[in-house]
Amino acid sequence: MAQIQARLEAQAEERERIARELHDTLLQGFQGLVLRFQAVMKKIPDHDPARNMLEMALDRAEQVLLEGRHRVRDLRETARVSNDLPERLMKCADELLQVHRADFCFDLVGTPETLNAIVIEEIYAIGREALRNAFIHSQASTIGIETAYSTDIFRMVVRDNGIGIMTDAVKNERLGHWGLAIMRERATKIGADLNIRTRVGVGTEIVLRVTASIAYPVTRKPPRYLCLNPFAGREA
Amino acid sequence: MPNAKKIRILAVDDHPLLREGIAAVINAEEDMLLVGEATNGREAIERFREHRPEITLMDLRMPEMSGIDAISGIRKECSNARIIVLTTYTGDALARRAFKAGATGYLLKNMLRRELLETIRAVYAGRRWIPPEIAAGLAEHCSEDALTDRELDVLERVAVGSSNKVVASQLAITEATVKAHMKNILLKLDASDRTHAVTIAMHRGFLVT
Repeated sequence: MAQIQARLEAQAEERERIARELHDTLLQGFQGLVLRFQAVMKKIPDHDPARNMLEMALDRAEQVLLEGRHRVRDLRETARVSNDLPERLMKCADELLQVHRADFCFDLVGTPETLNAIVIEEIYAIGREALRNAFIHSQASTIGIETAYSTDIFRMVVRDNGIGIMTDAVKNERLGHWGLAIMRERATKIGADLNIRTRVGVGTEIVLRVTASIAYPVTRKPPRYLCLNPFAGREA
Repeated sequence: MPNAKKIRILAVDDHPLLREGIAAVINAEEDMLLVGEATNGREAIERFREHRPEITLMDLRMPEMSGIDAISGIRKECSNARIIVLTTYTGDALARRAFKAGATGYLLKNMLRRELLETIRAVYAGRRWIPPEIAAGLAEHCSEDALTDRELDVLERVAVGSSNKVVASQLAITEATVKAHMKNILLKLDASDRTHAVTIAMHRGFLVT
């Protein structure tokens, strides 16, 4: 457990470092170069087609730069913790509903707390895979997802009333098809417990449990950027 | 054109490539001359004394001394110094602090290419210059009470994960006082909890130094 926590901490620090370096070095340098090209452009006579070409290239460069700044800002703000998991899962489900119509229900149990950013990435990837299975392969008429935030555990459940996942000899081959192996791998990475219950013709239920000490942020040494207080909302 | 007619400019930014870019754009203009460069707030004040530029371009986030402190320092010595802020941050709170410190113009770095020269000429001509998106942010929050310095002290510490107890001991005040400050902060920022308050404060530039 301590090992997993240490690794998460190291990953978060790495994300912050990358965000800071991208901003301070790459983006500022890029901006400076755009300005130098601008000075060159103004030396080209108006009627020369090269001037227009250079101007268009610079416009494009500026768009890329702006996009980069936004990405870096997002990376910085969510380097450590974030509470956008339900929102992201909902967006994913919305897209899948375009592909397969089903009765869909999103249950939120407890208040969505901030979770460690690295943990969110894994939980989201598992949730997305489970939703994809339910919408694309299971032929279910009812699909549901639940995220539950309690003090000792975070839990995510994806269930459907579809055809179920074959458990016979085809299973191993089809595991790849259903992405189950990858889901297990991701769960192991964050020390989480992944339980898959499935019955042919009845449906499938996938339950992910993440211990609080890994899911929720812990106050550690003050980071250089931002570490949201784990007791947010409980004080003041 | 004689030198006397040129607008004399000081560029302050800690990034060398960005200063080079600004220099290239400015020195290509016949009516402008880059007279000096500085890489932090302290150097900015020294270069300002040395050159007495008509326009100072000032980055905000720099090592050693921030741009806001440098603006205050320069304006203390020369109350009619014309300073244009260069920043990537769009937050209204940061802009408000910069104008309060004595900035005359504000320019987002992604607008440098198209608006640097125009802004320099406008501010040189005695106008204030605020990009529309910054002006909109300032207007939106103009009727709200700004956070006090003490509330900012508290929020800065909360942002790095300190509990009320830790904040209280760091600021040598009681935990009850910290709680009272937090309550005011939540109210002023219209935030639902501490995390939300920190996120809002980051976006609006309260926590950028």
